[in-house]
Amino acid sequence: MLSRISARAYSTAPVKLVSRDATGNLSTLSVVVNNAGSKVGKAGVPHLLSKFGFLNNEVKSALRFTREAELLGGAFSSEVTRDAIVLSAQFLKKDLPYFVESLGNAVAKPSFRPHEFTETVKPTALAESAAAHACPEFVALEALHQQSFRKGLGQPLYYSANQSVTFDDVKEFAASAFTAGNVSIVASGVNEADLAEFVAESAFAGLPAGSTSAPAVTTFTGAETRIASSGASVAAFAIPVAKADYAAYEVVAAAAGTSTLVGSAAPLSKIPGADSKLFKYQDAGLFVVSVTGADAHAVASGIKAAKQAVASLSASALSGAVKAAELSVALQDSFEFSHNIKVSADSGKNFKLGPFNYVAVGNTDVLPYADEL
Amino acid sequence: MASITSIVKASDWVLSKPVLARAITPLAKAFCAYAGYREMGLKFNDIINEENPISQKAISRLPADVSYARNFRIITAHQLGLSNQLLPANKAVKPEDDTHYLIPYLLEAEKEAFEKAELDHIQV
Repeated sequence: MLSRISARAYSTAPVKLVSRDATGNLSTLSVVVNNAGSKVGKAGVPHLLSKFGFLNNEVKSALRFTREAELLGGAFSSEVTRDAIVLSAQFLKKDLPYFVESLGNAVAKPSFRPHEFTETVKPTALAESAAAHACPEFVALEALHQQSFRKGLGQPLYYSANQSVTFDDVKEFAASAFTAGNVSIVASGVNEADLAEFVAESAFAGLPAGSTSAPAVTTFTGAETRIASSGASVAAFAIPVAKADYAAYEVVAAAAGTSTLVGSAAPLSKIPGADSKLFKYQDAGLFVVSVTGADAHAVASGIKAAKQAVASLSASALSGAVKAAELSVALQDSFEFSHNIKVSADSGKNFKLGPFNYVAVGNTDVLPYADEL
Repeated sequence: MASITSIVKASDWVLSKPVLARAITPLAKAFCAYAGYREMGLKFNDIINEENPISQKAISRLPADVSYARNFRIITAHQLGLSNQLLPANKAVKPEDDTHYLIPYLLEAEKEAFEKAELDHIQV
């Protein structure tokens, strides 16, 4: 394993705190609101709530915060993942108290004005959704998630105009999600003792107690979706993965070829536009093998070859990929989102390609059907 | 023109002084009663100047039902003006119904505009 700088966790702070110091002048601070991602609640609501992130709160207006952050040279963003809403800020080390206070106000004291919902939140959410859906790979991934999990992790990541979400839905969801048990702070490049002190003094201390739980995961296979669209074509198949099997599928990804390991001689790297990746979430994962390209005929033959390559991975290829899998895990691991995956010598031993979900996006006249793979 | 914010501030100051409030409140009530807009079916907030960006923003933020009622009153007033009539006394807006439904939205819009102007000219 690559050596990790020791991270310290505080138990006395009002919210869970994980931080580490680093050399240099830059600090990053992420407020992760667990169980507030798109897997929870009504579809579309978590995305809209994430767009409320840095709008007016009881202490400061959105405009003032934006201008002040600009003057301090900080950058901030609010995004939704399938698991959580993440508010993050990057700034110079000396501005830590300002940003801890601002992020605390953003999470603990939002003012939720109705006009912000129609004037700012909805248009930005729709623009973000439209930009994401312009990419066929994203459309394919959304369809694979929907087939594999249906509810929970299968819910659409972004809000779309055909979901009827009201302002009150968002407010109610915020009240249930923004609790002390759900919020955790991950900071790097900060002094741990200072951070704990600033957090205790900030609005984070005023978060209501309690926590929410994630919805149960049920998985499904054998579904097929075909989405006709212009532009590039994507064909992909996916297998839902239980949390205990992450290591096994990391080995499979490394043996088959994955874009995290550049320049490996694995079979998928010989197919143009092919990739395999294990998407890891808190309660379940999704192993996706995809082929992307502008030429639908090349994608059609590519996905057939990719399926063959994954189905025919030999035991020796799998055991030979253990080291590569360890490297791949280490490369994907970040301080903010760490998955404790222990790859061992016989992790990938029992892999056999079973039933999967299949999606074809783009020129569906040419792309193959699932039973033709 | 004085901003709505400064007018509200001044009237709050007047109301905070019992002597002034006792003297001026009946005057203000009489002025509104004789101004005649209630006989045209209007509330005081309907006749606040709306031809500026701040008022437009405030009006656009009104809840749908309040906005509908406002438009209905304005159409009523137009119709009365065209036909050169006044509403009968029982149809005129009652003083207790003459609420300040738009003022909070105007104050918020003005606050935003003033803050933006302040930040645009900030010296660091």
